[in-house]
Amino acid sequence: MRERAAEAAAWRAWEGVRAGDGGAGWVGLLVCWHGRTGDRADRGAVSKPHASSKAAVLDAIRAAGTISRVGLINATGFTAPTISTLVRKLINEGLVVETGHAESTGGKRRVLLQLDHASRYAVGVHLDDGTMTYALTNLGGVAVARIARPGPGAEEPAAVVARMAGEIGALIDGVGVERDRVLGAGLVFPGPRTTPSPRRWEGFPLGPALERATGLPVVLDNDATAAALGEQWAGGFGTATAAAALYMGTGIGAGLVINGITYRGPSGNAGELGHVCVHADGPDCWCGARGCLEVVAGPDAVVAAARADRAVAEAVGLRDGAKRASVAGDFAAISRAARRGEPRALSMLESSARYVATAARTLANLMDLEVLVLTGPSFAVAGSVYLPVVREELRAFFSRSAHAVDVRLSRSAASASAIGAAALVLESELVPLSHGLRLPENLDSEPEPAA
Amino acid sequence: MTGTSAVGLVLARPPRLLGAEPFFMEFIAGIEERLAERGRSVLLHVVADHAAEIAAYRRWAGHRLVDAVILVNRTVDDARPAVLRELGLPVVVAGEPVEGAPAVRRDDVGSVRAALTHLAGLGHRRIARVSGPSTLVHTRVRTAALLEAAGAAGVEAVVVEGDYSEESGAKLTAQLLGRAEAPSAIVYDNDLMAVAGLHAAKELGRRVPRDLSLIAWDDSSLCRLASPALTTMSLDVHLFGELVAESVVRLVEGEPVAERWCPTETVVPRETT
Repeated sequence: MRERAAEAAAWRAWEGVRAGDGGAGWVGLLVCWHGRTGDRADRGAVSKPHASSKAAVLDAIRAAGTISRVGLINATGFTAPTISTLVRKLINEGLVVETGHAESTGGKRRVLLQLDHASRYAVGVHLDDGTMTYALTNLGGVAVARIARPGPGAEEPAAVVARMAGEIGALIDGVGVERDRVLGAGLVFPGPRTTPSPRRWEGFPLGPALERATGLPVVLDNDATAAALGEQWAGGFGTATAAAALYMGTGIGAGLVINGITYRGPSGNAGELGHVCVHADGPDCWCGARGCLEVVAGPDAVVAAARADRAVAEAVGLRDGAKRASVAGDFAAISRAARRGEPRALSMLESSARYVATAARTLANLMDLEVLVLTGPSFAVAGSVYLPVVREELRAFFSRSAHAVDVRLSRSAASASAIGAAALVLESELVPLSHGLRLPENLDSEPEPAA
Repeated sequence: MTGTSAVGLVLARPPRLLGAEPFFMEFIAGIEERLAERGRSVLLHVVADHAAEIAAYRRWAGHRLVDAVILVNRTVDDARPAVLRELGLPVVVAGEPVEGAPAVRRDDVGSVRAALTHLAGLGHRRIARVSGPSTLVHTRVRTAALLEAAGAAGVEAVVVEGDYSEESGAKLTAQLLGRAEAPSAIVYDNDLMAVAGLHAAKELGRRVPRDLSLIAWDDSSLCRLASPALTTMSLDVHLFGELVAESVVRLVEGEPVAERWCPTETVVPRETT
């Protein structure tokens, strides 16, 4: 049945192309077709290769929110006795609880399972321009505590690590969680780097040093990828096969989640949307290329434009000297001025939004995206300007006759990377992969009897 | 750590609501901006209820984790101020004052009157309000102000109690519109309930604003992005945060702190009235 539906969708897409949307659609259509028919969940198998069957079951419960044992059989392809044993283990470990019954479908009422959100916690740290944001999330990937502290500045790496360890300790003490329920710490920063800038961080063993200082397992990653994983863990991407988080803080990046798995690339820098060219003859970018989205229209470019126009800088209230804010702080001030109705601030943001939207369309076309979530502190303040522009641009999404791209604002945009950093820990400690999870559409249908 | 330099803020509510509340993140951004100038930070902690909130205060006082606390969402039988006094934690209240603690207040009465004047001016004679929990002091202040202003203006007003969630906004809107004498305008105590209410009204075939006018409290991206865009009562939440932070800084630095008021909210007319 489902293959027929996929075929029909592909034909509708094909008709769309023939009807005058341009003839360059061959390759995209074929990809669409094969992608749709290769639905592994139809075969009752887990498409996300977990390191263990227990991890697979836990991940299925997380993805579903609440699910019955029968639902788990359908989602994982495991046998009823296997599911029964694994669920018992997860309940004994305190990770999963029974939570009432599903609506009766005529047979026996099914007990529903869900994660016990208060059973485990994880720390996430986001190191960005001038600020370190710390979050402590529960097992559901929801922040229960958050604090933003001054960034490393000119501090020596070892001193920064010692300070981080102290601040992580204070966060855990502040929430009153026993240390043995904290699974680890995720530390994320902007790419493309393996350590944060500047140069004196090069070669510094940040991960091991923070592990020694905190006694917690530490995971490192790119901040945009982390933001995407945080969205995925907390359920923000739903059941999408191809989803992305478009992150805007001081810079711009994107995190990709394909079949439920974050796609990092060999160096962890996949999704560098800030360095996609949006203007072939544009200005030189710090990355060495020219006309990148970030240098043409990123927060830094918007702030520079506002500061270059004295009238705008005054209307927005940008401060100089010792009171000068970070780029993200200035960008937030410009966004608030735009919301108050300051016309020049608004037009600067709208101009930026058009470039961001163009890059977003590129990303959506490349990845055949179903969901695009705008996240990060700059979208937290300016999302109401950018979102309509990105949505409008994605009406021109290449595969629009097959499906639309759902564009929305993250519910935790302001602290997305810190929350995502904690989700990295939850994933690596609880549902380690050896690659996404696809749930069948009807989790509670009876499984086919074994042949 | 030496010298905590953190100011604590506990939100008692289900954690799933936090990310969904642009209001509080904007409020905290305002606080952080002013505190950062003095090298201070906000320790935000989300808990399920007041018992857990009080436990957090005890823990913070015991570990000396915060220099002061920002108290939000005053309730009718509020046990928290007494505990904070007992612990000796300096407090700034965002909202209705507590004896012995400086407050930064919102003019709920003035705001409610502005909303009612706007709706009455559009000819509405039967209006409803989907409120926040009635255990909150400011919910009661708004309710009393609404009933009084409606009486004076000859407008019929009904208040139904929600819990700030999308679910309650949708459900209560459907109930109000199902009544024999349904209101022609609904005011919501926050943004989430208003956006959900707008969806519910559209699903019931109501044309907004032709058949029904809606006003949301707490202007946020959600209101501006709704279709049609929601008319809101606009408080400069960021400024509210800044005012609170300024009071906190004075308090912890030992200076006298006067009670302060946010500017009265005004109606920002968009497409739902």
